[in-house]
Amino acid sequence: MLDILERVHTAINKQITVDGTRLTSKIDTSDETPMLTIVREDREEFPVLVTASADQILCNAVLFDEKQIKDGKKAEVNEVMLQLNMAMPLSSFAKTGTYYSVFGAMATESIDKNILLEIETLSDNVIDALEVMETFLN
Amino acid sequence: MGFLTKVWTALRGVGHEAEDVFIDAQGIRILEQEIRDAKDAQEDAKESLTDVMAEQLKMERQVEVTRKQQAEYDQAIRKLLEQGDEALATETAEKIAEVEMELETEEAVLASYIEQIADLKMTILESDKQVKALEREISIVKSTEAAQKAAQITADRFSGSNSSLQSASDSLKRIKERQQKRKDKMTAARDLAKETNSVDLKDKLVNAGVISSKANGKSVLDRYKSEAQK
Repeated sequence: MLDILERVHTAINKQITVDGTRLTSKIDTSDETPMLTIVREDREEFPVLVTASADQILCNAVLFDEKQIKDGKKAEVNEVMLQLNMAMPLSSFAKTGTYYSVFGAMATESIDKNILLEIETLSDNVIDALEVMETFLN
Repeated sequence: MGFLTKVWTALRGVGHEAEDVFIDAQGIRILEQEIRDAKDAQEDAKESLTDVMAEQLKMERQVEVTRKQQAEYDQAIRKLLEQGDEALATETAEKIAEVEMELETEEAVLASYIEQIADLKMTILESDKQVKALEREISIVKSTEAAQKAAQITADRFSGSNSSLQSASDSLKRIKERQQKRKDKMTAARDLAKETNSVDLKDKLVNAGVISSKANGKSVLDRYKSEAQK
């Protein structure tokens, strides 16, 4: 799967987004599952983490831990996310363990241009999603 | 059990303890065991298939032999009846009954071999598909697991302690401030560029003699005078 990640890395690293910010990508192979960390220079708090399997490239960006949700608002957060899921371009909401995130899955055959678009959009979606969710967060 | 049900079984219960967000390794072990089982079943089926195919060939030859026998007795009994050899014909008829029964049995066995072969081939094809599906599942479970680890890594990086993620609202605020600052800087830079450009242009026009560098009282007076003379 490393070869897929290396391709994504080459496609993304040092690219400049449409609004003029730089993307930096880093490969981490220390784990059994290699991973790519992509940071947009002005949004380093919300990196996009990329993993690959035989069938898909998975791009994930963590939004917040469920502990950050105001008391009694979790059901509402879940509801809003489900309702907005389809409207969000190219990404979906997800929850892994206690972490809410937005993610996008792509075919491993995807061309560089689309991978870049996916990651730029995902990063924008993080900010958009947090704007909506802010009222439910501590 | 469907794939998502399996994943959910592996994930269920996870998420209540922050330290315990990873998929139970047991979930993956179960899938790996299923792959091994499916592969074993496939090996068995392949072995059986060669055995049964060998039996089938043997039985086909046997049926051939019996049919030939039947044909021989058939010709014999016709000849004996023509010759009026009632005694030998009766003996032959008994032999024919025996051979016919044998043939029937052999043909039934042959049919069952053919059926078994079709079944085994189907089993092999299905276990092939099953192994591929299971391998796909493991791959997805592993990348889901990696995504969870990634979440943990992100959390660790942005929290001073080992607590949860730093407040997302704070981060959002910071990012927006940063963006505003960037925008302001760009606007300022653009304004400055515009100003500089207009100064540059004036200098260039003066140098080219297109506009006068000294628009003063005297030049204006001269202009009026020359107009009045016309």
